[in-house]
Amino acid sequence: MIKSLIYSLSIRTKLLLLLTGFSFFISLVLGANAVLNDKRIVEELTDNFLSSYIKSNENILTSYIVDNNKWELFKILRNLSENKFIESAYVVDKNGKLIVSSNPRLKEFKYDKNMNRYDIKSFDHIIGSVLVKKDTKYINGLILDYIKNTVFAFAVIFLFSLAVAFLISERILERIRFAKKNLKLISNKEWDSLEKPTFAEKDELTEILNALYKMSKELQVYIEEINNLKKFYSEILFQLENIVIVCDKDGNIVFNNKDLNVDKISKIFVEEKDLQNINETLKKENSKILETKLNIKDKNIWAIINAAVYKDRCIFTISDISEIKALQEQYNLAQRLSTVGDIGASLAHELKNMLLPLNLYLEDINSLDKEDIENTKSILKKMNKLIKSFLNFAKPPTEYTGEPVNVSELLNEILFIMTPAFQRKKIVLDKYIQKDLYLPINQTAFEILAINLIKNAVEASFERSKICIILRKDKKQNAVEFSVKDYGSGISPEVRNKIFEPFFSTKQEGTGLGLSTVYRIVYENNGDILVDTGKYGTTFTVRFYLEDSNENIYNRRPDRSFKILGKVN
Amino acid sequence: MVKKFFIFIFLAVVFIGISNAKTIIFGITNVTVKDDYYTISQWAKYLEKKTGYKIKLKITKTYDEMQYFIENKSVDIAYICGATYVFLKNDNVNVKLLAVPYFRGKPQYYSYIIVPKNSKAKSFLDLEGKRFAFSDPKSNSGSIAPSYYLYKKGFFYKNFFKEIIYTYSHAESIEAVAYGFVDGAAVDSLVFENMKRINPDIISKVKVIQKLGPFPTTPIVVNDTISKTEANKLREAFFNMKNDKEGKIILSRLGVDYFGSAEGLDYLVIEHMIDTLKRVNRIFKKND
Repeated sequence: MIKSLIYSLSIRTKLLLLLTGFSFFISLVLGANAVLNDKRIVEELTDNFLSSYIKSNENILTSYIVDNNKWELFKILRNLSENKFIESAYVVDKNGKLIVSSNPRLKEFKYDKNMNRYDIKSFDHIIGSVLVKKDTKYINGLILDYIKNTVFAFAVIFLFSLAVAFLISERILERIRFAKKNLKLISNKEWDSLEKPTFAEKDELTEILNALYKMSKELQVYIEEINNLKKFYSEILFQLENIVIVCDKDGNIVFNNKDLNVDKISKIFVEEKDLQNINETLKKENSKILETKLNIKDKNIWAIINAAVYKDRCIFTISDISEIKALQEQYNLAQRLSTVGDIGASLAHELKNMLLPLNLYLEDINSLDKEDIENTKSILKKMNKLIKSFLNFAKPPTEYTGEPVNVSELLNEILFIMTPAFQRKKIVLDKYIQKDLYLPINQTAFEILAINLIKNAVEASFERSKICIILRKDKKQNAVEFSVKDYGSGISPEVRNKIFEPFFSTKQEGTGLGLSTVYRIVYENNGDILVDTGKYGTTFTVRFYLEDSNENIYNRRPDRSFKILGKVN
Repeated sequence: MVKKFFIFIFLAVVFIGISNAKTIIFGITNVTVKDDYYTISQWAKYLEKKTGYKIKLKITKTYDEMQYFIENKSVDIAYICGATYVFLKNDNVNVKLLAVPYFRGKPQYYSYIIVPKNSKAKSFLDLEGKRFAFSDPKSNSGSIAPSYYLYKKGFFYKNFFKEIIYTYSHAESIEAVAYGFVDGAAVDSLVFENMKRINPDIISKVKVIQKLGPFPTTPIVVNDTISKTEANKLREAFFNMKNDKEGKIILSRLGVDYFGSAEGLDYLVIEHMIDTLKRVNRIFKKND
């Protein structure tokens, strides 16, 4: 209550209260002390006076008492009682009987305990006493006078300190008003109207005002610089080709550099799930890059959108990649056509090579013996196999049905089917297959991929050697990793870069389409393939990511390529 | 050389003459001139100047003491009460009257019976059974005259009052009445009149209810230690006080018009009263 009352007071009132209260308190203490001291001093002085007076007159008092000289005694008492602080004085004999009183008209004498008593002695025998009754009224009056004077003096001091306090507070307030005025000018950005403080006082407040003025001037320069910078950057921002959109946390657009007539960020997304995806990620991370379709100025475009959280705002930087996208498609088409051309040429070359002996056999069909017929059949069989493989390569059954495949089970089945192949070369299989791993992949595609890699490994292995097969989940990358390791002699450095090319084979019976098929399956399922080869064997590691494919492109692996490492162990 | 010798002789004579000037001891009692030592010292200086004698003051509190000093020849001249003069004469002391104060043209004065202003007493006899102040037992106006009056009225003064206080000063007797310390007092009229001028406050507190007298005034007497020439010189100085400014100031402070001749002045009145009271005292002493 008192605290809130004090807080509600103005500075002037507080200062006045403080200074006057202080002076009042000091005055009160000093005054009370002075009055008490004064009373004590008066008492002491009067007592001292009386005792010394009686002492100095003791001899004549003795003789007058002995002579019973009342007149002389009366004169002494009379002189004594002329002192204002003495009400009356008496001389009594040793029995306390009154001899003479300063008041001759006194009818009855009564000893009063408050009287000062001074015994008159002659050779240690009390022969009488002088009794003095002090005029307490007069003494108190003296003290009262003193109190009055003290109160008056303190009243003057009080008024003086009140005036001083008023003056001081007025000077402080004037400077506070000055500060208030300048602060208002600062808040109104009226920099040129700022006044320089010119106060006579050289105290802390003036120092603060001077500092404030100096600071304001520096602030003015600083703000002007900031404004210039702001202008500069906003010009840059507006000249940017990229679209920059700033949203608040509710998705309201607060800024854009392209005069977009949209109020909500959601309105520019063609697919709502993309925005949801961004929101989800931004809850955990500071930024998110996404390739998506946007509607900008009533036009659907392909864009890479970079959403970043800055304080309570979200900044979207949008790059229009529609043109790049179109170019890429054109490039892909050209690449495909070129590949088809290459493959076609290779196929034609192979077929031509096979057709040559076939042509020779069939030149004279009647001269064909049994062996020739068998050879012809063998060539046709080879051609059939080649065409079949080509068809497998050209149009593999890789369309994803939408049902994730339990690749753990599938791999176990494949290994079971392939057991005789291992046994033929007495190869030890060392496998680690994590249970119930699912992949969004076409089952046949995975079968082709697995069989090709395992078959290659068996072929590359020496007899009685070992093959390691691992299928596991890479939690860090959120991917399923499948690796096949043989302990053969490795891939020679000359052919390492050609192993994925179609129709390239080092084996006599090979079509050269196995690994290129594997490559394509991996490519189409947005996976990775890593080849680690050396003179003690080769490891093929295939990784299929469980996340969205688009993210993989930009976040995980900007340079998506197949790596072939040539490790020399 | 001869000139220098004469100068030396002359200076020596003058020096010896000054240092061997006659010293006159002037006795004064407090009874008449209460504490006015300034006036008394001025008076002595005045007399020194006028007579060329060295005047030395001898002040006593009581007439008794002064009488003793006069009889002792310790005092050459003295300003005493008429009664003391009578006592000295009775004791065959060779003192002569030198001068007497005149007041309103006469060498007479009275004994005033005074009471406090608010006192109901209208005459001296109304003070029976009261506290009364006498000045000096050997003062005429302050003791002898009122005691004799009471005797004449049929009272013995010691029994008439409840208590007699001796103040040894007429002025103090007036004060004692003014303070109410006593109910009445008998004082010298010359002192009383002088007091009117010196301390009118005190006088305003008292009133005179009866005047006893007149009596011959308090004389200045000369002892036989003084030669006739010296006595004449001194008398002349006293008589001439009224003729110069300095003397007049002293006279006015003493409450006296002037000092004049005591020729033809008779102190028998006082002597008679003293004799009578002596007899009365003896009778009362015997009866005590």
